[in-house]
Amino acid sequence: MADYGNLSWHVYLWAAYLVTGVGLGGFAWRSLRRRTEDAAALESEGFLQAPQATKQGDMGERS
Amino acid sequence: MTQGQGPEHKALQKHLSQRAPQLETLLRAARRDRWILLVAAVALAMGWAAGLFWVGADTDQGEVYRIIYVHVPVAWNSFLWVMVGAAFASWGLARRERLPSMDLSSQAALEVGTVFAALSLVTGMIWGRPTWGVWWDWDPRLVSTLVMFLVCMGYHLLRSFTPDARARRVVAAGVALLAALNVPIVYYSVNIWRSIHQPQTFSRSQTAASSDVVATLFFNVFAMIVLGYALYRVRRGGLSLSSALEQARQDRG
Repeated sequence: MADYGNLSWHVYLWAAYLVTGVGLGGFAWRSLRRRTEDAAALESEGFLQAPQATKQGDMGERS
Repeated sequence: MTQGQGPEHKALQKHLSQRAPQLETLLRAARRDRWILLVAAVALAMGWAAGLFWVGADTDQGEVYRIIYVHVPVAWNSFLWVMVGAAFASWGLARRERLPSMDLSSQAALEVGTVFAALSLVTGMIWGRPTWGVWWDWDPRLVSTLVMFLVCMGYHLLRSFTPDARARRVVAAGVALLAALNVPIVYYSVNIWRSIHQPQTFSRSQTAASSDVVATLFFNVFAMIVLGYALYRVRRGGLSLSSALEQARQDRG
């Protein structure tokens, strides 16, 4: 038989689900945030410019 | 002052613009991954609801046995993603020209595997306290899982402490293979060394669970594998993007 000590079985059960949810959710959130930051950096630093836009940039947009 | 009027700057701009379609493909893939992640989260929420509210309680353990629907899926996923990481590592070692790409895939898979291994240990401890009366025991299954987790952590530490990219890829691939060697030891430890941990619930000859428990458990395992795949894709895409960003910055000088 299960021995719950001073705690109710609810505590163990919900703690296991909560830890898993927070762990996986936190990992997903952190990964998505880092990827979004890198994507934004690629865009803001001008690495995603098409050839035409690059030509415009050469004509003075990046002055 | 207007920058980049010289021929060198024009050549560099041309080089960077040639990379643009490749980078945009990475960004499009990143947007698709959010949908896979959402589908996996919904499937897992359904599986957890079934495990918590639909299936009946266990005759021995009562309600607390429902931890099985998170503990077993995360444990099996830790095995799966460590093995996937090792498979990418071996592929990279076998075909050295593919090593940079395989190294990123291996790293992403092992990051996912490490998270699942950590969750497997924590949920196991939470389940162990009410059923065994202790949070931790130096049992072969627990110790071998801890060793696998520590090897995975060592993999990530080694990566961050090896600045040379070529050396990092080769050494990391070796440690990924070492982590995978632990998987069969963890899996069969309950049969080889019988102790406090229960033996395998599912084996070829018999299954010590009712059909609704088995169905709910396998649905949760499936949902967790889909979530693991979504997490792998998010991390793999993220590693590709940061690698592309780093390369583009180096190209620019």
